[in-house]
Amino acid sequence: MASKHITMALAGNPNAGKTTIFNQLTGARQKVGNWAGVTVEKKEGVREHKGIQFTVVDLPGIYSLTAYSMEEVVSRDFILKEHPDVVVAVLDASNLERNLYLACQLIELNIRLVFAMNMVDMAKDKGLLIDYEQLARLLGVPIVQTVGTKGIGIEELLDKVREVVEGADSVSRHIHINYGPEIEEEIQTIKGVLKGKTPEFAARYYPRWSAIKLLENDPLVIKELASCPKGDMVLKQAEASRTHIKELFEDEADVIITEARYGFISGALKETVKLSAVAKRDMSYEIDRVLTNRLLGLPILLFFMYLLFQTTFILGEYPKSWIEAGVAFIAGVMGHVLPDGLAKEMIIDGVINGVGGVVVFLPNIVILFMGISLLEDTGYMARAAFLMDRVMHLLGLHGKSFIPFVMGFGCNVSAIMAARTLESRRDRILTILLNPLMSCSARLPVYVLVAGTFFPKHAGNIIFSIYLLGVGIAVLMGRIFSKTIFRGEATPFVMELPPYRMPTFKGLIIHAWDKAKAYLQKMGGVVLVFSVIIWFLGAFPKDVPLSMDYEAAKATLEERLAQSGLSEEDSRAVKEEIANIEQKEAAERLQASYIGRIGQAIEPVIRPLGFDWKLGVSLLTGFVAKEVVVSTMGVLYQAKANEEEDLSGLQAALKKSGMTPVTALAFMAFVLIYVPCMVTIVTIWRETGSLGWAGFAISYLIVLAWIVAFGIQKIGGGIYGFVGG
Amino acid sequence: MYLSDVKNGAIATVRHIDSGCEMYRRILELGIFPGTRLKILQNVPEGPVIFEKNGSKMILGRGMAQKIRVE
Repeated sequence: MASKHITMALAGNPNAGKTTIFNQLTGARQKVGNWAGVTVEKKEGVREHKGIQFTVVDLPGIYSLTAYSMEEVVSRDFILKEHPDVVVAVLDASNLERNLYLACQLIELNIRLVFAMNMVDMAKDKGLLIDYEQLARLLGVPIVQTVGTKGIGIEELLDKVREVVEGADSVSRHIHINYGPEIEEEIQTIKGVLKGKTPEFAARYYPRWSAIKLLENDPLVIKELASCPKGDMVLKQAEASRTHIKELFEDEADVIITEARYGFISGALKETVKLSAVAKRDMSYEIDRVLTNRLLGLPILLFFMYLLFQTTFILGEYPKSWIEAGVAFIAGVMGHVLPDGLAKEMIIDGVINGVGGVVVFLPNIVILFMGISLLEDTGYMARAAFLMDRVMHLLGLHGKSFIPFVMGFGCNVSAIMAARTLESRRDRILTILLNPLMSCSARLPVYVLVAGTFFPKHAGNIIFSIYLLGVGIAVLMGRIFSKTIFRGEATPFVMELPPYRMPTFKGLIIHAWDKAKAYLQKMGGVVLVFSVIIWFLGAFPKDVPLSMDYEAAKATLEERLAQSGLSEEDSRAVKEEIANIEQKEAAERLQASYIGRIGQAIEPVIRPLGFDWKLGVSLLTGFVAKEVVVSTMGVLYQAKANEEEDLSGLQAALKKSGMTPVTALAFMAFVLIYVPCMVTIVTIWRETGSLGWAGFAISYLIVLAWIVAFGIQKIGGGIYGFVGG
Repeated sequence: MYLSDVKNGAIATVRHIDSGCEMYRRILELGIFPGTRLKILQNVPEGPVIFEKNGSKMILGRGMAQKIRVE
């Protein structure tokens, strides 16, 4: 039985292998969420080891503990306010210098620390001979060597954490990084005032750390101090000290301090790291010469993107058809088992059709995400960002925004969440606003249907042009936004280029599982609710005047069917007749329902685009999920549209409806642009933290969609008329 | 000259960083300040720069690279 409990926080640079270590420590026993009030992911897991229950909190990847980014603030706050028993810093041994910068800042906090020296195998391959014992002694922090991808050192890490918590390890000692006599003097002065005037504050955090932070002009420490009685006296001293340093060195105190930290690191490394003559050739270097090549780089990138999407669709087909069969099976069972009535209707027509229609895409989504994780974990995404930087500048953004845009072609929801990696809020919001223009996979069924009907010989090219249209409009809107609401240069592009690595299978599985869970949660949540609402709007009111007595007509036909002596052909014809009548009734009822009325109410707005009320209603239902557009069209145009192979009925019906190829183009363009599904809208709201941006996104997209569709209708119609088509 | 002018394969020593904004601190924290030696790996005209410092590779946008004076 677990007699003791230890909380450990995992900190470290992004790309240091922290996530791999976290996965190794906690396996599938982890929980993913958000840090309170911010859109930074929080991961927590548990592990039992030698009778002790470890709670592992994965802090966001950070390079430093200043207060300039949400990730840093979240990490810092957790360490300072939640007081984990130990902080384990995961350091990349092959990249020691920069990784030690964060380590130094952690040392300054005067907390219980353990360093997990990760990727020691790569360091060795690079020819680095590192004396880890000596380094640990110099830093005053025990070092455990690990190779996260192979699971080496994990148990030793847990043992060492326990030792440190129990005070039983011999290496731990608190050291001070010496900043030079002038700065040290100011630190002492500030400490004095701090302890004298604000003893509560001095008791809250390690005074030396607070003093250093004040010299660095740290906004959070300043804010907290300002709210303490007599805190302003300490702040005044800090200001004086900063000015003094500036006069002495002709540079800001925080610059001096940063350089001093690196000086300390440099010294420590000189004593403990030797470069052996025998170093394996740096494979990453060689690979990069090809992948980031001026000429080859972009074509290779396009090839990988192409491969990604092809795999997603082809591999995803198998599990997708199983799920489709499963949903159909459930629908069938429910049809038999449930007593007739409203509940049954709601469950089958609302829940199963609505949620079922979207859940079938789970395999595609999961595979797409695994593909993207693969690209990220191997390190290739950073190269992609480098290659696309110039193109991104056309939109007023930089290379890092490329990743969310690529993901947008799969599903906008995750793409928008991926925008968290952008440091500047401006870049994040702009990327999020433009993202819906990347045609997500859910819109594809609409294109396939419409293009297949009206441009049978050129369907593929037409669909490709729609995608290009989306990209083109994104560039245009990006430029417009950059010159108006989002004026100012895109923040400079700074990004680490990690060495290429083989991702672990375990890691990929965990990624896939996380995404699948999140997707299913959304299905069970928002989509379920809205499916029911839309069903409701379409099913009521029930008492509507119909053009003919459908019940009587059906009864007559069913009687005929029950007659004996009916030939195969005849009985099939009668069955078809019954099906037709049912469809007609359904369509009429839909027209008279709430949603039908809404559709007819908005018809004047869409008529200039060449759309009738049926298309209008279909577009409205696209709010839930874009795939629903097709199924709604199926109901309204009186044809079965549930099987992809059976589109012929719907296609014929569309042609008969009087829709022209020009209108078809306008319709597809409208679907491309108009508004993303409600899950995406909710995500935009959450990620931007403001309903305003979500509202703005909806507004500008609808207006833009209308304008573009109108343009296509008028210009296309003009050309058509001119050519005499 | 500036970091954005350095040819592939050359080694540049940082002399001064021109900008005075938040990115300046970020660059500093990543270990780039006067005296640092950087090896340029990929410098694309009108594009970002890939360089290496003590084994650690980074990408820097052109805008920023044009503000770092080197020799």
